[in-house]
Amino acid sequence: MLFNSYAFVFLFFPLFFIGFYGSKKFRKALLTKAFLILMSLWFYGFLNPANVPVLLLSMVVNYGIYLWMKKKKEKKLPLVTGLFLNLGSLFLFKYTDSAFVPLGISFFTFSQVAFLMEVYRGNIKTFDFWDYGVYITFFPKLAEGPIALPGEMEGQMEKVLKTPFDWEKFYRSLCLFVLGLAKKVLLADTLGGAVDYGYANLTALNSGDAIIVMLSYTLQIYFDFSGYTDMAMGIAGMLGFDLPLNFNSPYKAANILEFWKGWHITLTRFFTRYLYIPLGGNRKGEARTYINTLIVFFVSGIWHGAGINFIIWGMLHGILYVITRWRMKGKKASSGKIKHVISGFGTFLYVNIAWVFFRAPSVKDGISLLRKIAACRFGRINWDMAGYFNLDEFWYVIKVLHIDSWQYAHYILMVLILLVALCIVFFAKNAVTAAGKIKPSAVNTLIMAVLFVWCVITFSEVSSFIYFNF
Amino acid sequence: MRNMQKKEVRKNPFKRAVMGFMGLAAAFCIVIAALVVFVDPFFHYHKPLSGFPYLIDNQLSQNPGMAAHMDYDSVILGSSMTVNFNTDWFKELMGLNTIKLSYSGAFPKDQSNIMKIIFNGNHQVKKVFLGVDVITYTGGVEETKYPIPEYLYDNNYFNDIQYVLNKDVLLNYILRPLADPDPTNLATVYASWWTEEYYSEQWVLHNYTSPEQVLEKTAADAYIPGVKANLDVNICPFIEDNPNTQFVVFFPPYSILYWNDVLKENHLEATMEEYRYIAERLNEYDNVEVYFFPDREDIILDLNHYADYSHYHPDYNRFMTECFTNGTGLVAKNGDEEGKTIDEYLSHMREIVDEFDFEELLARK
Repeated sequence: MLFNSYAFVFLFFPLFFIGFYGSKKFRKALLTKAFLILMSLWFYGFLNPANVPVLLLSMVVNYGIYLWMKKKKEKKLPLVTGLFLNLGSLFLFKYTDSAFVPLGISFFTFSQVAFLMEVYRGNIKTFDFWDYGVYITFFPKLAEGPIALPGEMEGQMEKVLKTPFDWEKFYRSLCLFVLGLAKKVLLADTLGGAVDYGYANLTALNSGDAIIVMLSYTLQIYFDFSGYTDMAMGIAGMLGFDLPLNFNSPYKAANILEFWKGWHITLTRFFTRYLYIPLGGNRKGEARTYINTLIVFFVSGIWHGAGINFIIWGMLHGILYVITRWRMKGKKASSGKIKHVISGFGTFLYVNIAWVFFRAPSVKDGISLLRKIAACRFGRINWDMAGYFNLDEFWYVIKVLHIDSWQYAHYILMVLILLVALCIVFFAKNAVTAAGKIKPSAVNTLIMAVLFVWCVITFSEVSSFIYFNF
Repeated sequence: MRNMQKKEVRKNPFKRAVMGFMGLAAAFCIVIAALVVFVDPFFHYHKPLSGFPYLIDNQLSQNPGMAAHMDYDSVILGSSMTVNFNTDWFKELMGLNTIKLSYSGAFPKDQSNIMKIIFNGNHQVKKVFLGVDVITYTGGVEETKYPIPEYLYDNNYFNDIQYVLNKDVLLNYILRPLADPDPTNLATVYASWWTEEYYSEQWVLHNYTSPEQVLEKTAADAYIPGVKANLDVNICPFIEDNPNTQFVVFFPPYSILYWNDVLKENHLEATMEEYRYIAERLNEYDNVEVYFFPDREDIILDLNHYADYSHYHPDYNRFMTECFTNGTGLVAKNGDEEGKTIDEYLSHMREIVDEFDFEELLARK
């Protein structure tokens, strides 16, 4: 189930909320946990019930391995078996031409790996099956993270059951959900239309078009993914839970190291704990540190998708990361404002280029888009592509103002939306921070309600097809 | 107790804000949904309001509601071959109050979907005019040309939320018509956008690409199983269940270029057999009349009558409407003395195709 759907907003979440707080009244932790797990499975299987048995099997197997590890002094064999089974099945579903890829398998597999690693390291002594079930299935984070660690989830349920309902936390979480929803539905999906058009019509693009496609995707993926995790954190918060921060204004970064402190934080943390450190981290000399870093980015590329383009994306980041780290050795980050702006702009540009390979259907297409930009052949911006920004609600305003007859009217909204999006990523507070500070005023509440309803009525559209043949 | 609660709300600004949000969001949703239900631009719940300038341009979304809630005693069904019928002609020539429910590119399943709604209502349907495009009858019985918005086709009220809380519906079908009224004329609804100058040989040939010659010939009976399944499942049940409704089935006149495609794709025999099968099969019913127009040389040989290889000028929609009145092009039923048999029509068609100089026509390009 998607958070941005009628079924979630009007059916699942209200039912969940009532059931969750209803079951709390019985003061039986087990009842509430069982309810949460069952509902999460419904959430998980809503669009395709075939997902559920995969997740259940994964849970039974991993919990079995946990019990095996608990019994044995020598924990290596169960750990290796567990890692092999988890990563093997992830590989089978994701990297062979499997017709069926279980929803969120990349994310729940990593949750399982984190669980086994923490047990192996002795950070988890006992984890009863229900707590484990809550940790794995908790629906806000199940499909797209954030990748919470078992220690972060453990004990939250008990705390939630004990504490009385917190209106402030609920309001802030609700606002965070609405902000995330708007990022996804209003911004990411609008930008996505132009991006899809661009990559489907590469040959028709001039340099200006190609720059807009590249930039739009950079913005789209941020609003989409961070919007989703804002929603996840918001939903968890409305239930009294805390999920770890996943995005912290990454495009404000002055260099690539800072970028990775703000982009998909829980994934970086996962790789640091379970790959970088076991490889020796920075304890085995400078050269090994850089090699370990490159390995992490290589694996991260593979994790993001099957295809050489994801590896290129990962390595582009890895190489700049290593170079930056090497150059900054022993130095403090530059403090001058102008330097900061220049290096920030350079980083943003570099990240843009890397995203081209992440999004392009193939390496060839990625290179072809970059070539379009390098060719410096500018002209009128592609009419059809610009059309994706002309949302009806704003286009009618332009008509009412009678500026629609101006020859550049078709491009007004494209420019405005891109500017607004850029201002948000460069200057606005991170949604989590903003929601944490929002005042419960009448105006804010009205803005949030309008934003929410605006998103809701955007969930479905009237499909129209262009009819030519028959 | 109640007073205490009220006090608490006042004391806790966050509780007040949450309640405010819920109240406002609910109120906005209710207002929008109520407006959609009241105006009902897709006629999902009721007849059109008198005086509202409805915009009708979406076959997939608006046909089901029109079929369910408008007044009519006959319907036009079919693909884009039917969009240029003017329903006023049906009134003028046959005294019928006709509604046009075309689906561009329609597959038999699309016809079945809409006939289900037509015949489930309280309409006394005198006539159904059904255009049959043979190429669409060979596919799967469950296939629709485009994914349909299920929520407008079923009786489930819950999924109607996709209709009542829908920005497109609100902006494009309620607010835009109010701000800039240009009500659709039902007589000419869905008419194609081609203006007169597009109906020219030059334009048609300019956009036409002759297919590659296929070497392997399609067997004469290759299409019959698929066509039979489609008739069995999607068409005939409605004919059988509605003996008081007259079904006027017609094969439209595509240009000679269509037959160039058939020859190049090497399925002339199979195509002929398909025409024969459909005509014979449907002609078995007393409440069916079959019309055959593909062999109208006066129409199909002149590309100035077309906007592309298959779409003819609205004049020929008028012509066909007249034929439905005077019986021109009628396929004689078995044992019927009057009119040509399907065999006679098909052998005439074959003669045209055999004798036509395709090379010469394509050389004019």
